[in-house]
Amino acid sequence: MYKPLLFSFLLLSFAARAQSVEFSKDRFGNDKDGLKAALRELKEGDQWYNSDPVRYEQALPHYLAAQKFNADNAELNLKIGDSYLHSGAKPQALPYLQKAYKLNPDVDPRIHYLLGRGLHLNAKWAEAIAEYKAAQLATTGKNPPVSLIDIRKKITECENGQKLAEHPSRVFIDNAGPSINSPYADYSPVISADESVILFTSRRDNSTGEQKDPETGGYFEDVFASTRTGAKDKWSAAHNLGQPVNTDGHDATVGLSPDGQRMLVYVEDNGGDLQEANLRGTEWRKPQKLGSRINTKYHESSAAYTPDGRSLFFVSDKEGGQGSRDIYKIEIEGRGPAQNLGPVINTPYGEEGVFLHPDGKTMYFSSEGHNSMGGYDIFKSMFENGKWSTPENLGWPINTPDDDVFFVISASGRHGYYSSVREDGLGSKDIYLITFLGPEKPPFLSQEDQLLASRAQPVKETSLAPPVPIATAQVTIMKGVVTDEATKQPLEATIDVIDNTRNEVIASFRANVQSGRYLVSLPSGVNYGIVVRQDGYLFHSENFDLPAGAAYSEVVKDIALKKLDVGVKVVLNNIFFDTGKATLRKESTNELERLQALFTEMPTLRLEISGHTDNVGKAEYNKDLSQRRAKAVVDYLVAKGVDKARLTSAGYGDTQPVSTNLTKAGRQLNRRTEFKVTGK
Amino acid sequence: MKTFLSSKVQFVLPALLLGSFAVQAQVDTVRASTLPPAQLAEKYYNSGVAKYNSKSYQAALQDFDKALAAKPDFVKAYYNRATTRYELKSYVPAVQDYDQAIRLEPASHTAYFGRGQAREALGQRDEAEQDYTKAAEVRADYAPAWYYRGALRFEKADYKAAQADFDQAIKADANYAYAYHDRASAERQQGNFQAAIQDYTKALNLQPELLPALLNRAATRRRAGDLKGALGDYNSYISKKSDNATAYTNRGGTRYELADYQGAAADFTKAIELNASYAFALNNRAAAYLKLKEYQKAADDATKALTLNPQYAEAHLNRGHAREMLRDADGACQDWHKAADLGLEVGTTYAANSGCGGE
Repeated sequence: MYKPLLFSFLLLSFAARAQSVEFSKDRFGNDKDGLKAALRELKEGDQWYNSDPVRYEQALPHYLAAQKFNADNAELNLKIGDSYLHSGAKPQALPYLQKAYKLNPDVDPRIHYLLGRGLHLNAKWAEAIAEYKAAQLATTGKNPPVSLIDIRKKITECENGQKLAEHPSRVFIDNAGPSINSPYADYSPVISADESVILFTSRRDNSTGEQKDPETGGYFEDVFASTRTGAKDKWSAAHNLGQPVNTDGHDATVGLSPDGQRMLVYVEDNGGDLQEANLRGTEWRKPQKLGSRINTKYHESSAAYTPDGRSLFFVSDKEGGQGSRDIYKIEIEGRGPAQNLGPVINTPYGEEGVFLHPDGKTMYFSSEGHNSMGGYDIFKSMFENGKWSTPENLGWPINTPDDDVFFVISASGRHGYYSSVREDGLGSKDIYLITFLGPEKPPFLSQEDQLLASRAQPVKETSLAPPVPIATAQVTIMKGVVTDEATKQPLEATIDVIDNTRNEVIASFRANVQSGRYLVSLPSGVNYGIVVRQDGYLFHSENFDLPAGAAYSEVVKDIALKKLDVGVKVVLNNIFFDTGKATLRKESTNELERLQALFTEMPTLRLEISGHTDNVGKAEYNKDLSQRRAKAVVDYLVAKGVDKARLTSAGYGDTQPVSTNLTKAGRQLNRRTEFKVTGK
Repeated sequence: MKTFLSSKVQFVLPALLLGSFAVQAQVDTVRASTLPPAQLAEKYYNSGVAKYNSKSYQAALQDFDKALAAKPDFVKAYYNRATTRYELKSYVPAVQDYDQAIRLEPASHTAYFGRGQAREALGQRDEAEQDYTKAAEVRADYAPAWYYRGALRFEKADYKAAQADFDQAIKADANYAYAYHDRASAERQQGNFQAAIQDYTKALNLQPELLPALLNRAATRRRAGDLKGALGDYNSYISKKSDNATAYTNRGGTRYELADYQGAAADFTKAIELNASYAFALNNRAAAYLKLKEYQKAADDATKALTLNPQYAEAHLNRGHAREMLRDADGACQDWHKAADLGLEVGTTYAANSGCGGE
């Protein structure tokens, strides 16, 4: 018994004390050429590794070449591990660091910290904590190799990771595929609210100018675009947006308006600034600076539009914030300074990659603070009752120990997009589609029992599962094409979004000049009037009364504007009466004022205002009610100064239906107020 | 009489034994030595009873016919012919014979009870309930009348009234295991789990071979949150009777609730081995496979359950979940919408949470 035990002990000792192999003639004297080449690679690697700032990614290929010659040098393994920790493939650092430690436990005073980093980045939470704690013990003296504050933060991150990984988020994470991704870095995706368009930044080889960045060695950034070709996540081959958006330098997209007509671009000028580009037809215009209220001498990076397009959330590391990069909000056309979102959102650590959901109240952003599991994690916060909610970590596996930044989400809340380095990638960072599966869906079981002793008939029961929360986005997307009714040609019409209750235009958008396409986001909780207008045409109005909490829906509404002509009829969808009465509700004010303005703009215009009902109830009653309602509109206009002679009123009851009376939707269309042009 | 009613019977054969009991209890053989010379009807009658007891029902029927031909007001012969016809599943003529027996002897609680049984067999549940009521009126300590009326009321989901009848049955016969059992079920349906567990226990004490009481006590314990107690009852049942697919299915459900998904799947598999067309077991195994992240197996099982019963809402719901995880989003949405159409409202929620949109 004694001898074998001793033998085992000696073996273990030998294994643990594996020797670091030097690049020396003594060791490799029989391969002088190989040694020479390896030393040359080492030297080149060291030049990058010892430069200021350190160029880890440039050093790495040289070190890996030397490693092929001699894989058992502790210092080289450490340098490879350290370089990987600062590359786009951080988890690959771990085996090199472990080997370095095995070859020589004293290879570097930071070794426990670096091992902690390698384990941490591989989500080996408990082992990482153990190494960080060992690093804490080794951190003594006046000039410790790693700061204690940093180590403590990393331990906290690992603890966060442990907790978050216990309850993974229910998601699918899929590579966006070769139509979008390339073997080079593809990142920072932005989408239109309906996911019909994706723009992203890529450092692929067909960049504008095809120049490489002398500092990092990669191709310059360019903005690329792709459009959805089918309902099933199929995308057209991405194309370079070309000039004027892309230049010979770095050009990165950081934000896109929900309708896909305005883009935010990051440029490196002035320490990092934000610009805005507009889509005209199919061509993006030259990006324009956003002005000194947004851009400072500091680093302004990512930004996002609010759904009404009137405000911007952006990231800056300017002085006076909570520390590092912070998120600010500013009214684009206003005069006031940008407002820091405050300590609920911003931390002493970095915040980045801000994105506003089209519901207008949910913000997604990345932060190194809060309960990050390492680097930047993506968080979500809701603006409710005048304040932001405590940011919620989107959890594992969306977030990882590495940086997770530039996340955007569709209006439906079903799909998110971000970039990540994963095993199934096409090379470097790729863009990934996250499909949110919503809350847990408990399965249902059945069982039966023979409850009566004298009966053979069993009684069925279903095991009841607990109620499931409903988690859909609370926004309606209205989109379509605006055309001329007669020529069918697209129109670059203006789409006004009106809060009928407050009688206020809350947003205005333009349809695309070439396609006539438009898209508006309507967060739930408002009675919306939508007015589509274009000079030379009669306006078109739609109504969306969306109660608070109304679930996500997407409404496609193509709108044909009519030119002013005798006999033309227009439905006034935003005129409301009390039930069964002819009393105009105050929510009608905006539409009535628009009608009033029409008379002012066209001095010879004459209209017949008519009321219509569905066929529910007695015909006589319906006719009388519709007549009184039409008259109420006329009386309003006359009271506002419109010449009585230019207006007539008529009540048609249910005699002129525009749809079936057999369905609820049809009856709703039939109940309407409309005008007919009787003179121009 | 109460020998039978104390339910020393095979649980699965109550109707058969009831019939036997009714004949034996009601009709004594008329002793030949006391018969006057020409008592032909009595002779046929006694012959009929003997043939009935040897289960020669058709021959017995002929004897009772002859007895009645010889003596048209022979009450016992009507009664026994009715009982014989009941055994032969000739329920309508059986009711007619009971009618005659009641006409000739209106205070016969057993004739009312027998007619109630025949009417129940004809699906005339209200009329049967009236007959049981009448039998109980005629003789308040006649436990079966209360018991069977309670069962009918239970089946109408009037559990409170059923419980009151089972109370009366127990009052009339303190050893009536079936009445304890069914009162437990009525209590269970009213959410009174502790009382139900006590009554199932009492039924088992009175009649240890009344094994369904073990299954029902298990189910009640499960509902009361005592999953380990439930598992113990299921284990006892299965140790005594290992060929019941329902027992395995219900034990599987308990294991599922204890998060023992492998154990649950094994039980559902056993149930399917015993009964390949048991849709519940297939659906439940699909649920266990969902928890085990074996989505293709889950989808396959739910599909089999739906082949057996296309209107099985729970199977649609579970298959929807499996299909979602198998990346068949359209198929998942169809299943959830179908589950909602079939009455499982949660299908609408599942569909909404997965962005299915409208139908």
